[in-house]
Amino acid sequence: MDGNAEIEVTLLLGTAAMLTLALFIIIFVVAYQRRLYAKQREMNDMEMQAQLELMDAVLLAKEKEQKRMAQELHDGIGSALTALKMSIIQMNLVQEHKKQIDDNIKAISADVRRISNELMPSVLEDMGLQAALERLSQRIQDAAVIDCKYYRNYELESLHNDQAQLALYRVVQEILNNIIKYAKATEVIIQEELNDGKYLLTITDNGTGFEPSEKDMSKSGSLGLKNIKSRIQQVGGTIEYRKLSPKGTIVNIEIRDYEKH
Amino acid sequence: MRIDIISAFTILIPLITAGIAYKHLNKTLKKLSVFILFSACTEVLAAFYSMNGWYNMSISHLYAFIQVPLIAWLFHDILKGISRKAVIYLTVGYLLFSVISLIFWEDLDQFNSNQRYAAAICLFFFCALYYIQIFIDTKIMRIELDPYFWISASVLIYIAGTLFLFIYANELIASGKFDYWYLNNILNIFLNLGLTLSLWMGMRKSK
Repeated sequence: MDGNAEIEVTLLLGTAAMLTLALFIIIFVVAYQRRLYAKQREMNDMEMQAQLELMDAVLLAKEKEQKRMAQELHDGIGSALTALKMSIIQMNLVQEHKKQIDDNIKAISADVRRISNELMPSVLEDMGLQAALERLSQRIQDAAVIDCKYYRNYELESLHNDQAQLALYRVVQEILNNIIKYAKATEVIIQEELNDGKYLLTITDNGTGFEPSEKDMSKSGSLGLKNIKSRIQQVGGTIEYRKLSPKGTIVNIEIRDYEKH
Repeated sequence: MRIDIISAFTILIPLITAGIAYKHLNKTLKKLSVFILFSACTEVLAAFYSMNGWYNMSISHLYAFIQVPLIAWLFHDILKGISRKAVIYLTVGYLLFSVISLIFWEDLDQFNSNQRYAAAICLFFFCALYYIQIFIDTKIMRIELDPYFWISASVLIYIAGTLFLFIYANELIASGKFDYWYLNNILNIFLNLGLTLSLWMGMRKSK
């Protein structure tokens, strides 16, 4: 083989080898990066799941503690106030003083009942979610903060178990709080529906409009939104926020197998 | 139509894309546009020399001398930390080597083989540093949508395919074997298409 032929062979083989190597490097980089990215996503998902589970546990513990405190307030302080009232009746006091003390005790009792009710709404335990939501909307209406209406399209007493009822009640409470605090709304409608075996809870307002992104939901500051998401997940449902045109927001909560929860 | 002419004209594809997308491009891809404009200018200059029957090897020297610093300028933006320093050192080393090669081994009438394969080694390192960065930094969601991936992939294929051609260029020219330059022309088309894709991805990303 002469010098030129040798150069040509080296050139062709070398070029083929180099091109193969370059292609191999590129394919390897793409494949490896994809694997790395998939692994990282999997880890992020696992971390997110663990966070949600932790949040669930925290929320459950919080509810348990609130229930205990509500009972303590009702049974302990409530009974003590009643006993105090009875003692004062039997005391030799001027009638005017007795009335004054009695009024004070009544005011304290009302406060204790209110706090106890906020901690664990007795109506929710006694009469179920529908009655509790009706009362909640009535309370907001009475406070003349916002014109709040409640509707439902079914007559069943209770659709969910106690835990699910409490979770949904807390979600509505949190959403209404957010509307009062930030939305500048004048009207809110809470609606419960049963459609094709699906349970739908809708909260619509005519405020400035709010549609949180995935980023907003994962922000460290948005604990309320995270709590809502976690509670909805607890009951096996989904939640969607949608900005309405020209103004307002609709929050749709959907539970497919509501009988399970 | 001759493949060398087609290949020379394909520089218009990234050039036009850069012109259309320029205001949407980030700082790094604007630097890529400068490189594309420089490549187009050297193509025009080479064609002008060729049409007048002048010997145009000096343009190859000029191109190789400016090409690596321009691409280094680009990779300096893409890379982070110590890799950036490596890009600067490699470029300075390359320029020194180019000057030495020009003075002692390959004058302006000869094909600049030494300079070209030194350039290929430099560019290979730039691409390798970029790939290493990808492995360390897993932020890129889909690599095929990353404009810098297309720059590095097309540059890598071009230098891999032309390395041996440039090493033996003087011998091939001396023996009158010009057919092998088709390889350079074909790979140049791929390079221009890769750079166009990069600009397009950059424009999409910014929108």
